[in-house]
Amino acid sequence: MTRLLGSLLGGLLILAACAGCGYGGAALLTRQRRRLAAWQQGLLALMKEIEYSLTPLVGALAAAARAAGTEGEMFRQAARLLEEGEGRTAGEAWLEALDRSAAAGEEREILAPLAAGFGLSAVEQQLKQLELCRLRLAAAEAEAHRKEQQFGKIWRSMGWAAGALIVLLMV
Amino acid sequence: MAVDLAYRQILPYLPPRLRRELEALPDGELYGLEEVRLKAEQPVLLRLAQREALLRLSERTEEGRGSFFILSADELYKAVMLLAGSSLYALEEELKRGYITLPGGHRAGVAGRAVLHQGAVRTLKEISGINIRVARPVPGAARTVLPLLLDNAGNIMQTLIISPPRAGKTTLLRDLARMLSEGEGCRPHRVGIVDERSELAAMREGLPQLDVGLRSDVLDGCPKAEGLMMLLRSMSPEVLVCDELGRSEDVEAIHEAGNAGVKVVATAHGSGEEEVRRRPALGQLLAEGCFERLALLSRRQGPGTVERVWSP
Repeated sequence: MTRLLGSLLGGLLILAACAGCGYGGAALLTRQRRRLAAWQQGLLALMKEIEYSLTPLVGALAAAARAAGTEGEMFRQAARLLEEGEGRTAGEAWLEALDRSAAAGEEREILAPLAAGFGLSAVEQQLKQLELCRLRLAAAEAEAHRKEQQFGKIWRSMGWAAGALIVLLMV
Repeated sequence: MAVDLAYRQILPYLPPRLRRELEALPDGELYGLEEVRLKAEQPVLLRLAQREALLRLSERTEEGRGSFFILSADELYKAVMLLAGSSLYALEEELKRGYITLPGGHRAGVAGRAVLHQGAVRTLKEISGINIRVARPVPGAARTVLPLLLDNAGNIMQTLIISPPRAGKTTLLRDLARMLSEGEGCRPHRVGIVDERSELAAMREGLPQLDVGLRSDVLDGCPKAEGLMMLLRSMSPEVLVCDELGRSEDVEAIHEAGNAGVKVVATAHGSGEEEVRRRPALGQLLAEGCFERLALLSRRQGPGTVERVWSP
């Protein structure tokens, strides 16, 4: 009886662990989509600050961080580095903040070009540069959404299926 | 020699290599630093109270020890970014006027290529030179002059301070505003300051960086003639203070102030009364007897030397 209960418990644990892995994989896809959406919100806030208030970058980046919510650390970090001074330009602060952020691969490729000319030109030019970056993030978000729809379910199903398979093999 | 730390406030706005070089110098070496002039691929020029010097590399520097400090084009670009807080777009108005005001009232003049829009300067780009002027408030600078500018009842008279560039007219005017406002050496006056070039009070985010007194209202970055009229209408000043009169539209504003019984204390570029009289707007004001007192400054014994005070 005890052995049976132990086996049952073990099987359930394996099933739960595998399902957890599957859900974790799906959550990564959701998180990426949310992160891309939040960064777009951050860029929109940055554009508004620049366009309507001519807010200097330190303040504008802080506003962007607030708009991006929990994913705003990259903007917050850039504002902090810029405020610290130490002879950093906005471009350098932006790249340093990117290095410390979750942005990698394609995300980094989209965000890094902002460093060139960040804060350097007239309002219209700044807005164009930021809008280009935002549009590329939107495209990446759409792709992330598609992946989430397509692979999210697969990840979850695969988690359950893998767990069930292992349990069956062990029986 | 006394320690002069005013210049240290400009160090964070300099590119790191230049900052390190200046920090390495003993305080006495930079005593009375007035200007730091930066140009790409040129030595850095320091203008001190009584002399000019080209910055040399310090003993610690391995390469080219003792030779001139040559600022690279990248470093000049970096200096522009640091002065602008990496936000050139936010400083279009300042760049249009040719300078950026820094915390502490220091001012960075910039030279570059003008971008025109409908015939007027819109901004500057391809910046080729920067001249950072260190603001150094001198409390008490006006102490000896003020009694000469008061009438028998202790009220300030309509005054024009005449001075060549870099002879301390803005410093004197600022201290006059402070003393009048605080009632130091006179009764307290309500003072309105039109600070067109942000040099007098050096306002930054609504706070004066330099002391202009308790009863002073500052209209920052506003054209003089317009600003004088605005203060006159809105702040009931007893004294209006502004720097560098000279445009034709200033004349009407001075007349309006006079008609309202408000005294004006202003400055003008020049090295004497005759020179000032030759300028159309100022000549008209002097001919009409708009000023009761003239004060002439020079650098004969350092900036702020008062040569004479007289009735025109």
